[in-house]
Amino acid sequence: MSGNEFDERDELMELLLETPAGPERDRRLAELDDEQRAIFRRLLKVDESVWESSRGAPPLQSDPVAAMLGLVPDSSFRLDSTAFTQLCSRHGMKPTKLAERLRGRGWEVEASDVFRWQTSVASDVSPALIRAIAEVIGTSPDKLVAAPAAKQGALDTVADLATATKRFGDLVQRFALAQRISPNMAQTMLRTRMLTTVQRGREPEVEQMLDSLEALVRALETS
Amino acid sequence: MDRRLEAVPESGVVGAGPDIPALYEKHKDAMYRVARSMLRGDADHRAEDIVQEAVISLWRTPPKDVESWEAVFIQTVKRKVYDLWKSSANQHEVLVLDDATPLDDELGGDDLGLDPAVVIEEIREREALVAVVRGAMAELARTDPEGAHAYRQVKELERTSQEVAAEMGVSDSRVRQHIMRARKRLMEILSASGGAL
Repeated sequence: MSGNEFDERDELMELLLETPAGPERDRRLAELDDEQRAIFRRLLKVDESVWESSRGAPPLQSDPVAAMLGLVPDSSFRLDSTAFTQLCSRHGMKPTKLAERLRGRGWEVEASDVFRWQTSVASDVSPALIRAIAEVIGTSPDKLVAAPAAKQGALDTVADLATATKRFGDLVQRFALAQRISPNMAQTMLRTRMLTTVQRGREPEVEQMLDSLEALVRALETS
Repeated sequence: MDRRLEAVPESGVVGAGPDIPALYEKHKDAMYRVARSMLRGDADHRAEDIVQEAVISLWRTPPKDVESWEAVFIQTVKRKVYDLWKSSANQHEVLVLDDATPLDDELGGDDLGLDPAVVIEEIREREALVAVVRGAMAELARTDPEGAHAYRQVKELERTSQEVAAEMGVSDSRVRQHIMRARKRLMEILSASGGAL
């Protein structure tokens, strides 16, 4: 392999590098001499490093685990700036102190974030963070949230059908109990979880969505 | 206690009642990277299930007196993958994974790479490598956009060179030539930045 030339040996090496790991690749590797095998391993290492560097978590809006944990901000469970400011004031919780306490729980929050939540629309605050804020302040998450915003778009149709079922209502109650959160918050988290499934390109039926939620809730109930 | 472990406490979290969601947000990329790397080639894409199972188990019963949550998250993911491998082997499933997949009788004992200090060191190395490779790929895209495109499509997105050739309107062989040239350039960039592989 020299300069920009591309000979038959290079072509064979590239074909081998494209072959998935397994018996076929092993067989073809065995046909190479030691030097070629060493070259193959070196090039494969580069390819694998590139592959791995592109493999992080999915984007937040399509991450089912994040949705399950309440990390996806949702308009139906949004921090109410006015109520938040009043409750902070009533409990003597200053922005610097609140930010410090939240950081102590693992949240990456600065005092400037808290100021912003108090003075403008805090649509980026997730249900899980609202729960943490409520616990730090000493109130309930439901007292910190605004009335649900306008109804969502057409993408939510299957999730809407699922949320209208009695089975979903039962799951909400069980999830709320397992997580010691309000049914309102539990409903938001489970609904967001269903939406991430839709956004990941799958379009399951209502019963499939509910089966998936059932498995999740059952796993959390098992001690 | 291992002194290497003492040297890497997670600032602000130890003993402060950490929230699993907050910690997941912080360490999710590393978790997915480890799961996907260990399960590369798994046609059922079970890496996401593994991450979810790991998070659920930690969420349900968070461990106490944790020195490094990052290590705990990664250890839990690894254990779940080992369980999957064991279960697949026991059920005689055809689970074609990468070359590093250990045999059933190799699983067990202390040689699973689960020592917290080892896990942390491994995470640091992985993250450093990821940062260097990303920087090199950005440089490659700037200096050889065509080669970078072909390389990314085949090596990152796992498309075949035939698919990419059809899209680019060139022969398969031409795509492989682009890839070879791009990789060579990438290795030069990595070497120049001190990140040679």
